[in-house]
Amino acid sequence: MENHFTKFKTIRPDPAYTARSRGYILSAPQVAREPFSIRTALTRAFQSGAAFGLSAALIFLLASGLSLLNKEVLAPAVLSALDPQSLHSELDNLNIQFKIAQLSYYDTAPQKVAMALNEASANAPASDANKTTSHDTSL
Amino acid sequence: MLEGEKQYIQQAKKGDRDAFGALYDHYIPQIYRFILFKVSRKDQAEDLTHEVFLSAWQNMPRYRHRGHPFSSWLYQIARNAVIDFYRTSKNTVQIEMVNEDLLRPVASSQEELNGTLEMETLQKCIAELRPDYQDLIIMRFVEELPYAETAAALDKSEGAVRLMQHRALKDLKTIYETKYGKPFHQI
Repeated sequence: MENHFTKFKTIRPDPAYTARSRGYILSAPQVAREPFSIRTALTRAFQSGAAFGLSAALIFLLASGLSLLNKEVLAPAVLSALDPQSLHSELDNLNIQFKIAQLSYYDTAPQKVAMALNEASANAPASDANKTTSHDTSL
Repeated sequence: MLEGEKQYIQQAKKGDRDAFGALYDHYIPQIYRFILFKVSRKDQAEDLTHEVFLSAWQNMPRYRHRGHPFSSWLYQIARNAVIDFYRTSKNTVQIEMVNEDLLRPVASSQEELNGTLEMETLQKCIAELRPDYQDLIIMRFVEELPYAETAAALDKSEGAVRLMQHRALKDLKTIYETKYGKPFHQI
């Protein structure tokens, strides 16, 4: 049995393939290994820490800047005008004023109309009244 | 083990192409055979063997000698390459699909022909073993690696390798006798 196993050792790769593969591998760059040192490790730690800190500061500045812009520039002019409560109260006031104006109109209008009619009938000329009478009789 | 291997390794770690070339020339036949047993197709075996040695060359600066032979490191890379190959390609090798010519030495007489047929039979039986048993049988019996080197390549203790070998041979015997209906010792 062992004899059969060892006969497999006669299997070998194709020499043309081996030469091609060998040439390709040895022409490939070898990945450079950086030797470990405390200085390098500290530098890398500082670099990553600094990058994290700067990112956090940038996010903070952006957020606070927007907040300030909102409070001091946009809020008085725009945001108050868009406040739904103030809009609602303004609308309520408008309705009330409109109703009061309407009531006062209805209150004074009939009297004024009556006075105007009286004045008109008192100032009317007598010929006009006669014309009407003669006309009625001719019929 | 290659004569002057430690020297070649030290030089190859520093980027010496000739030194790695010497290691390549010495180890390529056994790594190629190992992979060919596992994938059973010449083109795939060639591609994977190339990947193994390219990876070894690129990772030479990180290689640490831990008392094991250099070949055990190459076998570990080869085993991982085969595992990745099956995981990514979802290929399964069926025994009937194995190209028998690849694993068949040329026979010049009736006696040799009988031996060749027995080898084919043996190869088919090995292919039905568990993957780790296949690795062990190839390393221990085809490549005739010592227990220590096999253990290093399989990342196991020598005792575990001895036990595995016992079980692998037992399984191989069962497979052979079930498949061909004759005692295993007749091979």
